[in-house]
Amino acid sequence: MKSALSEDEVLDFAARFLTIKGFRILACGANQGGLFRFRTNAGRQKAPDLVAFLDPLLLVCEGKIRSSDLFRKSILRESDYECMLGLARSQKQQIKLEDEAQRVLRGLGLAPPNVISIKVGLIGGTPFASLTILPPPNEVLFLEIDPSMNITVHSDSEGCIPA
Amino acid sequence: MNRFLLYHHKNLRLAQYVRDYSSLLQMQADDECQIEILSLPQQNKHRAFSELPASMRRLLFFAKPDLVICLDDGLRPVRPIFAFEVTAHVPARDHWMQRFPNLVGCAQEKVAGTYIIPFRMPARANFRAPIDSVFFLAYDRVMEIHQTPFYIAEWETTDGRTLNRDQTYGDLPDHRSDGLANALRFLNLVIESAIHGRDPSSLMGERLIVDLRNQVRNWGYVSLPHIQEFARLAFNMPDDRFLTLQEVSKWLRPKGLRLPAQLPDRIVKRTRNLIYVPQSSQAGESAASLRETLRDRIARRGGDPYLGQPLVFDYLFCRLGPTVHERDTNLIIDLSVLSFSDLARYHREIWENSPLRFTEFDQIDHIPQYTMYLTEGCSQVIKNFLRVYAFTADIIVFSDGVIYF
Repeated sequence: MKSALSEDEVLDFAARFLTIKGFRILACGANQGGLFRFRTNAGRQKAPDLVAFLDPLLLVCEGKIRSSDLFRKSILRESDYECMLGLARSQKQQIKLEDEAQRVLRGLGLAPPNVISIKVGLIGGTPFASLTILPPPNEVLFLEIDPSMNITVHSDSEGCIPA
Repeated sequence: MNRFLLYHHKNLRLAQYVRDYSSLLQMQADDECQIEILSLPQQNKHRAFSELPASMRRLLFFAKPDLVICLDDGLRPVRPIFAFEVTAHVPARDHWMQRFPNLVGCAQEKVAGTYIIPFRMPARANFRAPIDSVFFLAYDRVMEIHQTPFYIAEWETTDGRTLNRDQTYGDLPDHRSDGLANALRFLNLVIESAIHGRDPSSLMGERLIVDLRNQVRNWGYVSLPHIQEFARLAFNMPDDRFLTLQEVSKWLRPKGLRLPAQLPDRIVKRTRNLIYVPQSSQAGESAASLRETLRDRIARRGGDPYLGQPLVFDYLFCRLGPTVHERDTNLIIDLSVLSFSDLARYHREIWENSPLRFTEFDQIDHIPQYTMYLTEGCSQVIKNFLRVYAFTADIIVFSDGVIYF
């Protein structure tokens, strides 16, 4: 399915949705400052598209217009999904992001919590259900934007996103 | 009714931030203007690029700023009036030079702008040094040469390590900080001026602009730059002075090259010559390895960190007026690790895919793109590295020949 949204709009809708749910957006969009950059399993530095915080959860996401593009990899690069899964499984990279989140929260004049837990997510502008290969549940959160601009959250067994 | 078009380059949040914190939001609430937020085409080869207003295309010639604000007053063609560039890092010299072209295209079009950047983060682990004072001086030269106001706003940090952030837009600077408050006052002044159709250069005499420019000068004129300070200049000019054309000829001889006999008189009449080389650390490297490294940088990294450097040296040492012909110093680019064909392959690709290859009307499927090629040639769509280097250089030296402009 072709989406009429641009990637910026996909991220903007997700950011607005998360803001309504009580999250504070710490990075969104081009992220040219390289905020919350982490090292992927392949050794590449990656700056995520959207980072949101709701005490004590730091949600770190990649977004694409077409959900299938999140799983596409080139010869040289891992897919976004692989990068995020790598982050979900890397304690070292998570510690780095926790430290950065504490600094960013202090920069906002907030007292950061002692413990921050990290959850990774994928944001897509087309249905995830149409994909043939789906990642294992529980490790990755899916935010799906439909053509009427509603957002559906999948694989949120831990209740990270408030109802 | 006035319409403001906010074109962003992968930075929708910045467009929203500027809309919400400038006078635009109130004007919109008062029904005095309409605001549209739009995304810039990702590539100049994209059809949408040829549909942009001509002044926008010229502004984007070197690079894309993070945000460009255009005004459509319903009478005159849509025109850009202000640009923003934002970075969250204190840049090392190579890095700010890399992004220098992003606002120079604006100055050439007499479009005011603001660079938002942290000045110093001494407690940060990887880069403790404050921002290079030459950065400010280079932008002051741009302002002076194009008579277009620019401001460099500090993204503040209170602990030397953590950037202060906006409460609503947590990935952007606090809009109430001194630097951002100044930048937004500056933008509001430009908006007001543009609505009334004033020439942007008339703003140079406004007290706010004078004060902001004095700040930039205060930071920039700590010391004047010398050739010796820049390894990429000192490499071919070790005596810390400009070369004569005779000395340039002598420098070319061991390379088996000579200056073309028919150099334009503007080049011959200039008494100073500056030679820039991208790779200044060549010791111990074979010619083949230097060539491969540079080719790889051009092919895969858009020529960075070398892309903007000739333009910086142009403004620091060569340029006296708004066009590249208004110089008293020739800018020579030493690409002698590359052959002519290493770069020519890029414009060959463009030429082969150009809509100008068609001779029947029915073959033209997008007229704006066809007419853009007809009036502007392929300069807008060739590889950035080639575009910026060809624009900036008086002479480019390859391993197998010398071209001049």
